[in-house]
Amino acid sequence: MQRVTNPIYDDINDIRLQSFRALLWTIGLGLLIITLIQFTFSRRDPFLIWTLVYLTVSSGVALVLLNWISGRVVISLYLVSLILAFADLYYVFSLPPHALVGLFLIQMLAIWLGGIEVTRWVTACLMGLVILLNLAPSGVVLDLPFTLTMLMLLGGFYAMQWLVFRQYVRWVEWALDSQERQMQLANSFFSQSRELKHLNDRLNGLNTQLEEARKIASDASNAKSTFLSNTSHELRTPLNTIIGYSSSMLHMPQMYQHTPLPEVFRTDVANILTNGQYLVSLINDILDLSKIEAGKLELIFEGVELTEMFRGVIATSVGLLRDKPITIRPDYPESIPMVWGDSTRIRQILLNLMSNAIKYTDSGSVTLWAEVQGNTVHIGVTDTGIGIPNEKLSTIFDRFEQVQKAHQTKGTGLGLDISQQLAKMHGSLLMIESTVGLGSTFSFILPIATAEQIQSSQSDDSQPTPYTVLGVFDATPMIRNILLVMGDSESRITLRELLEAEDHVVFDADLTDALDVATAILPDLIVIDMVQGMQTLVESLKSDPDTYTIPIAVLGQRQEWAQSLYQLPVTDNLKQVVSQIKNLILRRTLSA
Amino acid sequence: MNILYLEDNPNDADLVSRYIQSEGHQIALVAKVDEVWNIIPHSDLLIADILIDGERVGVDVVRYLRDQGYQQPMIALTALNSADETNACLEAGFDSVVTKPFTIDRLAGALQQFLR
Repeated sequence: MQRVTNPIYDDINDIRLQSFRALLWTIGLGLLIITLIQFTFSRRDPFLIWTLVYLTVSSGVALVLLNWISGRVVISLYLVSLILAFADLYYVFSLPPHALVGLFLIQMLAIWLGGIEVTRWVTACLMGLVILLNLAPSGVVLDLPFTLTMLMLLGGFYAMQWLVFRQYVRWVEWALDSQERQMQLANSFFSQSRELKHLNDRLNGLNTQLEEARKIASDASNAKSTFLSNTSHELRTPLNTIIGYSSSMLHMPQMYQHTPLPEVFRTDVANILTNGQYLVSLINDILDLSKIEAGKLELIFEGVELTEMFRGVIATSVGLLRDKPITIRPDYPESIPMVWGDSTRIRQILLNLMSNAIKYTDSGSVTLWAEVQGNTVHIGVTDTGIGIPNEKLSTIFDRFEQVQKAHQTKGTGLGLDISQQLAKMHGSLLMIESTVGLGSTFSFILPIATAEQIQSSQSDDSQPTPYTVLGVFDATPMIRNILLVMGDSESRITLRELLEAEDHVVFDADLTDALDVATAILPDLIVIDMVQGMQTLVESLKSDPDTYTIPIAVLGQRQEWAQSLYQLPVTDNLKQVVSQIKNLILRRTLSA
Repeated sequence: MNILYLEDNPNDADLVSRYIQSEGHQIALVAKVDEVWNIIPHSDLLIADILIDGERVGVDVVRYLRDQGYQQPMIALTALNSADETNACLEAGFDSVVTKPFTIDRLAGALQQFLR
């Protein structure tokens, strides 16, 4: 009831509707009680009935009117019950006016002291008392039926009042509640909208910052391009003097008044020329790598005729042989379907692999081979050279790394890294198969160009622009998504955090749903715990057409059937696992 | 044959001019674009560096000359070696692009087709 004093209540329009409902309730309940009394005692007294009907209706009307006029629920309720009580007393029991005034004062006192609830019961008691006091001396026989009837009437009347009142209070409370809810809703809406506005402002701020950051990044990226291009230019310019003059001194005596270079200087000048040229290839490689890393190397994809390219590559490679007793063997079908790639870059990879193979082979053969496998072409270079020891496999792609420094090879040590990056930009990876003393095979896979691709690249040819840029590729597109299938949640969480710190996108799955998840997200690598049932999973992954190419790495002890999978070290140090995974991504060892 | 060579690097200018003279041709060396216009009508072939004083003026010069109807062969000699740069040179009207650093044999090879 205390909620009734809430000032919000006075302002609720709904209360008028509620008052009307209360009126209907009052009438209905009143009629019900009267009917009950009539049938209970069979005292069909028209006067009493009509009095009660009148009282019921008038009190309801009064309730509504008062409520309407005052707009104050508490006062309305009080006044209604007061009027009802006085009407009872005056009409039914013919109480004198001074008694009514006395009652009124007592009720006011009750309100003052005890509130509306107490008042109503005080009023009821007083009325009973007053009625008895008045009736006794007037000669009315207080026989049992009459007393019972009176008690029933009074009780019924107050019960009705109470019911109506209670119902009324409920409605009011409902209305108030709904109003309050609305207010709360409104408040929360306003606070939410304030919050939203605040968030929006922050978002706008962040957007601006992001835009600025993006601009800075793009400026930095452009600056990087310009820097790369300028560096290249600045490094080449002095080299031109070194290479130009030394080559002139060696080969153009007519530029020196037909004085041939004296024999004593020849070796030294030739050395200057060779090293100058080595410096050029170093600069080229470093700039290539920088471009790849800066995401500035753009591939021009087109349908590539491999057999034609192979002939050129072999011709160039023969020039690299010098006096080495090596046979260069072509081993590819006469016709290979066109592959989809950047011909310049594919040639770069092949020349790199060929020159590496020749470099590390003293005698025997270097084979350039290709075979069509489904809708891909597997291309590789196999040599009969010194091979790569196991422990070197993980570092072979490291920059400036060469298997035998003592071999005195004329390489920059960047070639494999570049080839690997270029293969990745073609959606492949360089794969190594090597046995010490027997030789190595480096290979990669290219997709066969689809009819639409060939058509699109041909229609591009008809356009005047000689270069069509079809996309800028992330330098490391292959190593993003990793799926972890691990039983031990603790190590999974740690591994996930470590991998995410390396900018990988990490997915989780358990043995039961791993295949579905793998099919859905097609991760670049799947890491599996050595747990019960994983063999089945690996087998289903390897037999599913969508997932069979995805490399799988296992954590735990090597098992007989897992020979073909990557073996991650058995260790408590998950950081080591992560660095192993990073290495795995760089190399795919087909066999140890 | 009269050859005009636009080049701001004195070493390259010296190297190339000595080679060309040794082949029995006349060479006029200029280091600034302004000097090109007076000499070009008397030249049979133009060799031009692209980046002069930090600007890619070689391309603009050649484009302008081609627009004016200049018919003689033109060779770019530049340390800008990217495919884009080479392309831009060819599009502007150069007949051939030789990237620095070059061995004298390579320059000789490129010039051979124009020096008759």
